[in-house]
Amino acid sequence: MWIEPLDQAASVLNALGLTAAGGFAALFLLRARRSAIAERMKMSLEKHQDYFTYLSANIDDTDALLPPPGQLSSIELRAIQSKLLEWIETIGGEYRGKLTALCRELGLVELERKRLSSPRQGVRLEAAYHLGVMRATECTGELLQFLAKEGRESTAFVVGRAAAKCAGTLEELHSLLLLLTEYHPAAHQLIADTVASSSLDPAPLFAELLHNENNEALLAVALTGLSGRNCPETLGALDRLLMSGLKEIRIKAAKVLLQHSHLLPRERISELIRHPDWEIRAAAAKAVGEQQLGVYMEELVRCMADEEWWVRHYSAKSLSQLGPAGFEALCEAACGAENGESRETAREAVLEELDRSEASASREAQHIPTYNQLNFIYRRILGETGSERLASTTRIGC
Amino acid sequence: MNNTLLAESGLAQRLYEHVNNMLQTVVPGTECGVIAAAVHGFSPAHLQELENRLGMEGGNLATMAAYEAKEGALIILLPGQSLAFTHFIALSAKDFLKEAELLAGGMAVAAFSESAPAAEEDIAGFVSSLNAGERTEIAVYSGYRPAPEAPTVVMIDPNADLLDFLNVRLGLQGYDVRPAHDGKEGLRLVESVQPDLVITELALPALDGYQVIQRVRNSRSRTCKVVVLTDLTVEQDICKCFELGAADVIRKPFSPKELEARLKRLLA
Repeated sequence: MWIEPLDQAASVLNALGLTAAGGFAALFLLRARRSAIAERMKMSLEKHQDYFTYLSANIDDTDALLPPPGQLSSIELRAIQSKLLEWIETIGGEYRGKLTALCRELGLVELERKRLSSPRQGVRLEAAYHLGVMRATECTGELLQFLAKEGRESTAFVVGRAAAKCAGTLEELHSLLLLLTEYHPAAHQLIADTVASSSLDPAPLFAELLHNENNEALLAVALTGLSGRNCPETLGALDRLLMSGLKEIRIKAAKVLLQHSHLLPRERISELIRHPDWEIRAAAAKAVGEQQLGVYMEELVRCMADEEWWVRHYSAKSLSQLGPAGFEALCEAACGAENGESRETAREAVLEELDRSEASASREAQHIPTYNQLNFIYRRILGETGSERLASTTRIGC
Repeated sequence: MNNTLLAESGLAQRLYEHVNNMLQTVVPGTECGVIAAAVHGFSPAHLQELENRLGMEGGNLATMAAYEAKEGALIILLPGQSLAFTHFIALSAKDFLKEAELLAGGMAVAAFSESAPAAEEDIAGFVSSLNAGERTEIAVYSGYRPAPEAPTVVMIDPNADLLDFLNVRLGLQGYDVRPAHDGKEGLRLVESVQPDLVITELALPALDGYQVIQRVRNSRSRTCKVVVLTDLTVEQDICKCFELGAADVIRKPFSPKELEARLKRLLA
C-alpha cells in the first residue's frame, strides 16, 4: 500500500530528470553549433584577410571594387558580409557607395531580399536591417509593406529605419512617415530620428507637410525634424501653425520660428515674448539670450516678473548672456524687483554668472577684465563684497 | 631569400629594366602592375598553369610571368593595369601558389606609370617589401618609403573591423600604426612607443576615451596630439573633448579622406 505513492514519485522524478537532461543536451547542442559557426566565421575572415586589405587599400580607386576571386561558401559570404556591413555603418562619404555597390555585386542584396519572405520573424527583421545598411533602394517597397504588417510593434522602428536608409525618393519617405505616425502617433522624436537616417534630405518633405497637412502627429514630427535646421521657406506655415488649436503644435512651431529670429520683424519676437502660452514665452526668452538679441532687453526685464518660473529662469539666464548691460539689468532685478520670487531668480542667475566668469578668469587671463567688470557692477548695485557673495551662495545652496 | 641576396643577385636591377621597358610599350597614361612572390620548386608547367589561371580573371588580361630560379622569386608583369587591379589579380595568384604549395615567403604588389617611372630605389623598396618581417599578407608598395622618422599613430577602438581598415589606409600613407582595442591597451602602447598622435573612440571598455585623453596629456607623451573619432554625437561630449585637450573631434560615420587630411594637417 505504501509502495504505490513512492513509485509515482519515482516516475515523476524520472520524467523530470529526463526532461532536464534533454534540456541540457539541447542547450549543449545549440551552444556547440553556435561555437562551430563562430569558429568557421573566424576562419573565413582570416582566409580572406588579403581580400579585405585589397578593399581597404583600393577603395579610392576610380574603378569599382571587385568581388573576391573564386567560389565562396555560404559561411565565407556571411563572413565577408559581416565585415562589409560593419564598414558601411562606420564609413561615410563616397566610400560607402562603393561598398554598397560591392554588396550588390556579391549578390547580398538579393540574398537578403529573399530572407524578407522567411516564415521566421527574427530572420525577416535581420534581413530588413541588413538591407537598410546596404542602402538597397530597390527593396524600399518591400520594406514598407513589411512595416505596414509590423503595426504597433516596437520592431516597426527597426524596419522603418531600414526603409528610411533605402528610400530613394521623398514620396517613399512620405509613405514611411504616414505608416509610422499611423501606428505610433506619440513617438515624434523617434520617427523624426528614423526619417533623418535617410541619405535624402527630409527638410523639403517636412516643409510641404507644414504647408498642407492638418494631422497633429505628422505636423509634430515635421516640426521636430526641422528643429535645429535652417528652413526659411517654412516661415509662412509656421505663422499659421502659431494659431493652431493644438498647444503642442503652437509650441513646436514657435520654437522652429525662433530659429529664424534674424528673418523676423522685431514686433514678431516681442509678440512671442508676450504670448499667452508660457512655454512660448519661455522659448522666446531663451532664444533672445542664445542669439544675443540685445534689443529685447527691456522685454526680458519685464519677463522677470512672469508668474511662470521657467519664463523667469530663461529671462534671467538670457540677461546674463547679454554682456555687462544685461548683467546690470539682472542685478537691478535682483535688488529692485517687486516680488520675492523674481528677486530670488535674478539673484541666483547673478551668482551663477559671477561664478562662471570667475572660473573662466582663473583658466585664461584674457577673461579677467570681464570678471572684474561684472564684479564691479555686482558690488555697485547689490553692495556685497566677495566674501558676502560666497556666504550667500552657500545660503542659496542650502 | 633576403635583401642582401636580392641586391647581390641583381633581381632588383633586372626588374627595374623589365618595368621600364614595359612602360615604353604600354598605352601612354596607363600603368604597369607588378606582382612579386617568394616561391620554391616552381616549374615551367606551373608558370603556364598560373598564366592560364590569371587569364581567366580578366577577358584580355596580358600577363608576363617569369621565375627567377636563383633568387626563388616569381615576377608577374601586368602591362596597362592599375595598382587596384594588380592587387586583385595578386589574390588569385596567391590562391594558386598556396594550393600548389609553392609559396615560400611573402608577396608584394606595385604599379608604376610612364609619368612617374620606376626609379631604382623604388624597385629596391618594392623588392624589399617582399620580405618585410614575418608578413603573411600581400604587401602593397605605395611609393611611401618606410622612414625611421615615420609618424607613429596609436589607434584605440573596440571595433576590430575599423582598426583593420584604418591600419591599411594609414599604413599605406607612411604612418607607423599601432592598433589597440581598449583604453588600457592603448595607454600601454602610448607609454611604450610615445606616438606622435593618438586616435581614440570615447566609448571604450576598461578605460573610456576621456580618461585616455587626460592620461595622455599627463603622460611623458603629453606633446602628442589626440584625435577623437567617435560614435557619440551629443554636443556636450564633443565640447568636453576639446576642454580636455583633444586636437580634433570627428564623428562617425566619417569620411576616411577627411580623416587622412586632418591627420596630415596635425602632423605637418
